[in-house]
Amino acid sequence: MKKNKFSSVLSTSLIVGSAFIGSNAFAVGTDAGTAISNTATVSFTRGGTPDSEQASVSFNVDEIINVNVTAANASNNITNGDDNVAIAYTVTNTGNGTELFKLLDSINSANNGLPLSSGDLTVYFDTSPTPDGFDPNSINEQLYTGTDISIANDGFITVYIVTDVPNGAALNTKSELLLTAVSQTEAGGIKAGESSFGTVIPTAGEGTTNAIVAAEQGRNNASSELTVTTFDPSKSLVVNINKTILGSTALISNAGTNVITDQKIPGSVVTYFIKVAVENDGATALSISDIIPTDMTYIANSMRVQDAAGSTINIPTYIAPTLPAATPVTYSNFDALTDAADALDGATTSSNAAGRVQSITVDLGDLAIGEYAILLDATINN
Amino acid sequence: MIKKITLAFSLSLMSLVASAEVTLTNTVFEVVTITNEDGSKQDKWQQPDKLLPGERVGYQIEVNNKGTEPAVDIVIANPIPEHTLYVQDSAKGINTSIEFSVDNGKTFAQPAQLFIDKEGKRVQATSEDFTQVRWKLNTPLAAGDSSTVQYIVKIK
Repeated sequence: MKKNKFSSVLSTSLIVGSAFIGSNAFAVGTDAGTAISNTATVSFTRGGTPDSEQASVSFNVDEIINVNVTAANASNNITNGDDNVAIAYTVTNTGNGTELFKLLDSINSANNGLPLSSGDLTVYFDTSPTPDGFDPNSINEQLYTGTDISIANDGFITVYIVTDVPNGAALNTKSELLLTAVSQTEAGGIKAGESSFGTVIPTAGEGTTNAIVAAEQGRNNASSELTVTTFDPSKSLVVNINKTILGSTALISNAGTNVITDQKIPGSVVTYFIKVAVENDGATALSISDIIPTDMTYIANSMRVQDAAGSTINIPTYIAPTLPAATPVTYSNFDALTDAADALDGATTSSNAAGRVQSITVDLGDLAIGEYAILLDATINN
Repeated sequence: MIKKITLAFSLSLMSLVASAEVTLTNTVFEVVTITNEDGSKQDKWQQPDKLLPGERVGYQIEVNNKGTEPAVDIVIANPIPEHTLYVQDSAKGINTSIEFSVDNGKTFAQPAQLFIDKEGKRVQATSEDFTQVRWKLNTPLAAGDSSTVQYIVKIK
């Protein structure tokens, strides 16, 4: 008897304990589709004879469609150039039935200083009850490819939005990433994901109960920021400019005899090769200027450019111009530019009052990572 | 007996046990709070539409004496359905004594006299501990008369 009482007390406290945990973790309640039956009994005496009757009534608990999305951190500290940065979110089914969800990742365009584009983002999810953080090689993390994910009531999944941080992201810049989970329940043309709070979707719940949308538009989202708190200059934009002489040609005439030489003597036409390497990050409005040395004369319209995005440029083989005309030679892959400030090809010259070209400028504009090159010719003054 | 078992498993929202002369009807409603024009609030018993966790469900139990002689010692007993909690002060019935049980109907008493064991201590039971509600009609039910009682539960 004593033992019975003890076990009764023990089981009571266990029930209290588990109810406590349950109500604290999530507020879901009785499973959708559960039958709640009620049987009333009336007993009475009539004509001295006791009798009784019963009456039962039953209904099934309808389904609440509800979802909660939280971000593990409001802000995540990153360094420019970081690879595979993962922002963790938790998607919890706070309804009372198993539910299919679609995940949407997005960037807040009003808060995107890194910047990132939607193509930079990859979504992974982990259904493990004990997520251990993002690891691209872990078997726990699955690439989300748009297939709806089933989450049991009270259940949750961990979702990671993964991105590489641009090399050129400046210190203290931020980008805000949103994860949205949308219920995929629909019946009779009514979609939970397009329904306002309180919408009843007949027969769409567990066991053909009604489903009630308890999250506006059947969805919830959470946002989290990436903030560049450490700047690594070695990963940011670097523009390397390397100017070399590709070759030179001079014509020596004496008593009707012409000799071509590559010696750099007065009258030699020198071809300069300027290689521009854009590294780590794209460059914006990049402009290259070159001062023509004193004692040299720029040959008009000799600027030629190779500016195909992302190219690798090898030093071209020198082609000697024909002298004395010294018309700029056409090199394959190079486009000839005109000196006129027409803004069409970006090439301009700057002259002094005497009309001598003192410098040339090639406006290359916005450049992706890669190599670019400029050729120009100048004559050594006599 | 067979008839009773069948009805106990009926899933309809309303069932009726057709006895020779005394019948019992058990009907379920969704209980919602409505706001009147003057801002006051009141409960409204309506056809079930959204029966969700946290919502209130009302049961209306009607006993009807269709016989020719009075029925006496009428007692209506109703276990609180599984997955629900009794809502305090919701049991009503004209000319009835209402009592509750916290031991599945072994004993009944007024709420103030109900105690449970909680973590080894004997404590006053709350309405959520009630397992059954019972109405004793204070007067016989004359032939042709009926009496209705009601109570509300909250779905867990």
